[in-house]
Amino acid sequence: MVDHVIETEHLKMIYPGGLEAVKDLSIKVRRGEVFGFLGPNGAGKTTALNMMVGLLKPTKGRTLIDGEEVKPWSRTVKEKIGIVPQETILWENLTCTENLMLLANLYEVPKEEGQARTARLLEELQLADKADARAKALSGGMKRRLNLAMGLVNEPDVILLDEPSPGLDPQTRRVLWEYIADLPKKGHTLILTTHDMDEADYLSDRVAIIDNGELLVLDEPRKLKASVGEGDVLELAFDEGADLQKAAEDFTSLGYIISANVTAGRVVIRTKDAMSRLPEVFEFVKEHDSEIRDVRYRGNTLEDVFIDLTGRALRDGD
Amino acid sequence: MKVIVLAIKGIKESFRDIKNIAFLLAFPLMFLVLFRVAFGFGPEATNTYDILVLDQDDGEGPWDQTDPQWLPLYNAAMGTNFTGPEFFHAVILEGKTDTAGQYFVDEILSTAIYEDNETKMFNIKMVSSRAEGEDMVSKGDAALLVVIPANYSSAIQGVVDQAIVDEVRAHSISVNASSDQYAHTKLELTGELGNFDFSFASSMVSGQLMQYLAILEGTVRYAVGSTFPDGPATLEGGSVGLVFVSIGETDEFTLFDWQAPGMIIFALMMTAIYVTATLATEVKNKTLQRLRLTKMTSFDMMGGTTLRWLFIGTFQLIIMIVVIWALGVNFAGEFGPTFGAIFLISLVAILASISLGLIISAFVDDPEQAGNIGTAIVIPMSFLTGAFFPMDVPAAQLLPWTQASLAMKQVMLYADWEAATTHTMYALVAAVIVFIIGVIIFQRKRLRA
Ligand SMILES: Nc1ncnc2c1ncn2[C@@H]1O[C@H](COP(=O)(O)OP(=O)(O)OP(=O)(O)O)[C@@H](O)[C@H]1O
Ligand SMILES: [Mg+2]
Repeated sequence: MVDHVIETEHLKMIYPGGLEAVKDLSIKVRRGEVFGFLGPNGAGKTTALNMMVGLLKPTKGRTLIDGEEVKPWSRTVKEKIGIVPQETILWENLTCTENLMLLANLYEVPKEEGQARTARLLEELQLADKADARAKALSGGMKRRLNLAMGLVNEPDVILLDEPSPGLDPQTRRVLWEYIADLPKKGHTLILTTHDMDEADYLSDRVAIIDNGELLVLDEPRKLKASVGEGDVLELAFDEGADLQKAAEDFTSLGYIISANVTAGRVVIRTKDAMSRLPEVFEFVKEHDSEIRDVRYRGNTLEDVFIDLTGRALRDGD
Repeated sequence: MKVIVLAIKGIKESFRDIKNIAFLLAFPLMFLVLFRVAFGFGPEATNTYDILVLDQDDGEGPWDQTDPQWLPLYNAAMGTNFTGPEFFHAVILEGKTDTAGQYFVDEILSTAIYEDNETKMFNIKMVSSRAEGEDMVSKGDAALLVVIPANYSSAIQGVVDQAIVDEVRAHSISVNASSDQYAHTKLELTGELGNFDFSFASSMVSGQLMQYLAILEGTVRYAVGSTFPDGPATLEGGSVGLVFVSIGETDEFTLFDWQAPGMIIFALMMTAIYVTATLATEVKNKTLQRLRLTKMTSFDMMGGTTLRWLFIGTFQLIIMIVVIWALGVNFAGEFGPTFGAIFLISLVAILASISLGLIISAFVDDPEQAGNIGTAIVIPMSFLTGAFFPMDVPAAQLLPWTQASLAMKQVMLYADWEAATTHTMYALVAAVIVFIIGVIIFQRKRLRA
């Protein structure tokens, strides 16, 4: 039997003003997994997380943590949940250590244990030399890391990470990813939101793709990618003024092309053994009095899954 | 203790925000200095105040029944043969009036002048009933009504008795004196407490009384002391009567003295704006959400906030007191009790201000709004509470700051501990009510929702 830590039942959120940010969300998060929410800006990820921890009262539905219903101020949440909010939420006039110790104290972590954790977190997230610097004196990326540490200091069973990595340089991002990927080994369950397919792919055991408040699919990244179709992807950029739609239709007529459509200003075609097909593709374009400006070759990504489901690219929302 | 953790966190935040703390401290100081400059020198001491006197003194006293114990001693030494009543009239009243009350009116108040320019202090009008006097005062026809009680002469005899017994004891001769033979009485000074004329006139009347009593006591002790063979052991020469003279010095009472109590309360009311601003920051930065997810209870949050601002308010208060003192404010009472009382009353005012801050911050979403709305509420309110000048708004009497202001005036201007206690109690009750309302509203709007 699968052990579920968090279960949401028909969560629905209608904001004052009538916007339905989350429509009918029922998911089950397994203990010890990394569960990813992938969706564009405004998909309802943050709204869903906030309802799950009782910061936001759902219009309908409920969340169970270890079988117990989440209520505002509920003990279960306080004891089992740590949240790393999308915005960095820090006390700007307190130092890194003070920020962490404040939460440790308020989470009733024994003093020495709190100090040990604080030191360790600062070390692990490469903030040790900023331990006594005020939060407001940190760089954006440092603030983000401190923000992450703040959600971990109570060593919660379940950690909710709301877009942990934007604004980080690639190297720091790697460090952060590795750190996050390590957390389940320490017994934590992770729920992660992102609009970055690579992040979702790299970190998640299972991914829920949501758009406009609706859960579209939920599965392992590998299976999701496989579901889009076989083969590889070629993304073709044309000179300005080219009729992309027509080009896509023309491609579809070719036998070796599995699918072709237009996303984000590019014609995206799917074919087996794409590399060896490249010359043929170029030839074909030339025959149609057009010219390819740029080609990208890649395997399937979660983005393709999203496109397949919505007809739009994830980054459209950016 | 999470309450303490939160309070310390808040205090750190406040003191690290340099601009904020500078404003917090500089604002009341600036205000005080400004007022000192504006009003510190007071009006010219040339005003003659219209005062009313209701003299109910019946002129009777214990000496009418029995001659005082020491009288034979006095008669023998002075070669006189006074009975008790004769001594009273001839010596104490200098043969000039029938009762001590009359003496106080005719010989003391009527003759009182400003030392530097010989202007009369008082125009006196006698009234025949309390109602008549109070009516005239409330119409503004007079600064105050002095009511001399029926047993005033009796009390004066008591003062004399006491002085003589003290003096005799100083010579280690044992005398029998039971304190209940003395009448205790109080002159009433009736007027509108917030009224500036009343403040001046009453302080001058009480000054005159103190001075008279001091002189009377000194003179009597000297007279009796000199009848002893070894002369006055502890008191020398004619300086006796002057020892206490400085007690009622009236011309030091300035408009600044009169404004200072209200200023303190006003400065403490500003706490409401700071409380609002910090809580609004916590809401805007969403740190409040972060707190809500911890094991902190709303009690911890409210307690921490309250402690934080009580501490900072106290800090502010201490600086204000030092400044007020340095600016040369005059207090009616003694140093220790006066400052103790100022401190207690201030704590109540701070508590009320914190509560107001809680209420306002339940409705504002960011610090700028907090500043604007807070100011828009606090400043008019400070006028209502009579911090600057007396306001005739009955409903404002219910506000804790109004009562705290009155209590503060009673302490600093009149050293009237009884009245101060009453006002402080009212203020405390009102503050606690506002506090409860504030906590409930803040919890509903910010912590539960
Ligand atoms: N407090 C609010 N009041 C009204 N509408 C809101 C509120 N918060 C969010 N929304 C709306 O709800 C929708 C979902 O927002 P949400 O923040 O959950 O998206 P998200 O998936 O987290 O997006 P992002 O990737 O940009 O963080 C958006 O259309 C947003 O405008
Ligand atoms: Mg979000």
